[in-house]
Amino acid sequence: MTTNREERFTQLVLAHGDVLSRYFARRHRDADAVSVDDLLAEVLAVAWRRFDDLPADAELLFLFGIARNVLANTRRRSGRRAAITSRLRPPGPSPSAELEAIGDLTVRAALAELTPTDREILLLATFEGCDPIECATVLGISTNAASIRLSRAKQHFAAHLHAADPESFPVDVTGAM
Amino acid sequence: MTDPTFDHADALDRLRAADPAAVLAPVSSDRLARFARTAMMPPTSRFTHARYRLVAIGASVTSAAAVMAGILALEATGPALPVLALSSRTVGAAASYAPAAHAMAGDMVIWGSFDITKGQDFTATGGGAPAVELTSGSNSPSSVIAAIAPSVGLSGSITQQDQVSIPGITQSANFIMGDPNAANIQASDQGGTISWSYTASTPPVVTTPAVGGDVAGASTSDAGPAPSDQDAITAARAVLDAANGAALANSGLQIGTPVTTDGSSDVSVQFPLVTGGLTTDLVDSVDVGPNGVILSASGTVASVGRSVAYPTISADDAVATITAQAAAQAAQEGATTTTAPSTQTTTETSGTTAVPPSGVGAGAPLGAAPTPATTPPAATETTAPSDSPPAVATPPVYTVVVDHAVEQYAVNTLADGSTWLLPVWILQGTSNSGAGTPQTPGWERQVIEIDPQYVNLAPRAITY
Repeated sequence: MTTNREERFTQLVLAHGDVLSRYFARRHRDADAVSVDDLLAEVLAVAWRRFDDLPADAELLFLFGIARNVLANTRRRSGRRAAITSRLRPPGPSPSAELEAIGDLTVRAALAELTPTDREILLLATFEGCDPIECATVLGISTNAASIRLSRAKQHFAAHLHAADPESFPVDVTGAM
Repeated sequence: MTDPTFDHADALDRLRAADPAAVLAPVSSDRLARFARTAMMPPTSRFTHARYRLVAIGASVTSAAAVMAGILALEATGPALPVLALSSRTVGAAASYAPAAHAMAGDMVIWGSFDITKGQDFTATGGGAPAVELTSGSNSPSSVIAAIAPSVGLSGSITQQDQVSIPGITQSANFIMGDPNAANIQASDQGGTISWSYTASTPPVVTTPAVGGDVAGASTSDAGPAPSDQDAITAARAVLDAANGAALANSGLQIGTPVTTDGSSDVSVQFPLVTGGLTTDLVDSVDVGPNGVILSASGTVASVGRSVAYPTISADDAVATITAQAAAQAAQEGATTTTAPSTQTTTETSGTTAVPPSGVGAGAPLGAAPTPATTPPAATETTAPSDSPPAVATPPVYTVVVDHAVEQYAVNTLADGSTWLLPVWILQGTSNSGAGTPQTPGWERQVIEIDPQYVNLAPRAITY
């Protein structure tokens, strides 16, 4: 028999599962040897374990926070695996997953020039639609810091986009740097 | 399908259009329900009692041996100084630290590789600076707000902003004086530094074109000529002096030489903070409008604490490290090229010939095929028949000549939450684009100067 708690969790998954799946699809790297489904399942397992701690007014942000940690753990495991296999082949840096997934080479080049922290908050705001307060919650920083970082990330991104493709993106914002 | 509201010249529109998940079909309700049921299944126990005892004994013996071996190894070769464990929240140079192979990911142009060489007239300035801890000293967000308020004509009570409480996620409390949607001063303790900002009114004013819908906007209410650079510097300095007050005089941090950026009706003044004669990446910024009106400002208040002299690497070593990494990256790009999808090939004819790495646009798992919205108008695509031989992909090679290295400080947050200024080499040089076009501004990269054995870049363990 399904309990009320289980029903509420199922409703939570139905409401936010697709958004989480897209979150991972944007940031997941095939070379990490796990699928988007694996990552989603891991997030939901943690969410079920912590279901009683779930804030009613910020369920999705809570899930984003877990997803961010799951992704970080996965990348750390991949890093350890790469460290072992690098003894067998020449080591080298690999592009971050969110960049691999983006097909617009100009956008990709501009994103690659951002710092990881700037890139993370810019993608959260643009792809996940988080406002500065929500970004602050997911990233564990103050709203003030999130606003400043997001504003800076947007300016830097626009400047790098202009530098990478001045004809297609004619607005000169290099002064913003 | 093309979005009629898409603006090719808008940076965020371009980014939204590049969303790799946009083309994915929604996950069905049935599938999500299965995910939910799986998540709610109780974990299965893998151990019987007998097996548990065997494993426990084995683990005890192994861990004891490992501890003893570790102690012996540390006594023999380990660094006497504490290792700086940089946290996942670290800022500054950590992402640019060169010794680890993964460290440059995200910090370099991905499609293409770098050919980095040291210039014949390579010079280096500085070297051997100690690591310096930053503390908030006797300052608090409230005291900083109270100090700034008179200089910008703001008064009122200081309140702590409500934030969503998330278990397991530590947030810095944000304090505010004024209306969050109008003129206000905000400050928060970032674990050793106090970050503050001031906004005059809405719409906020910036000196550069607005990029998005964030705090940036266009100046509409402050018509009039921009102040002279000197007047702007004087007005900006008054605000910073108020913010830092007596604390900065004893903090070991000094305000460096200002840099101004002129807008149409305002001037942006940026002051780098300096300690021990070295510039840091802490910057106080003030935007000054007509008649010296402060439009917005932000900065950091901190005090210099402990100073620890770690062994450091030379500028030559920093160049050699980053050169070797670039060569490794180039080798990997080559490997990526040879594994380009053979069943379908996308070729851009906008001046360079390239196959996107990882097969994007060519039946990639994420289905991120270029669409008219994501591809610049100048580029056209041709799709070869599926039985055609794979095209030869030629990643652009960016030629970099490193001419100079200058020592600076970069802010980093350690895993224990403390904040440190770590010495870094800022490598500077010239760069050509993949097509051979000189790029401005010049090439620049940071490399942490502290000996790699004293820096642990691995992110801290994450617990839920």
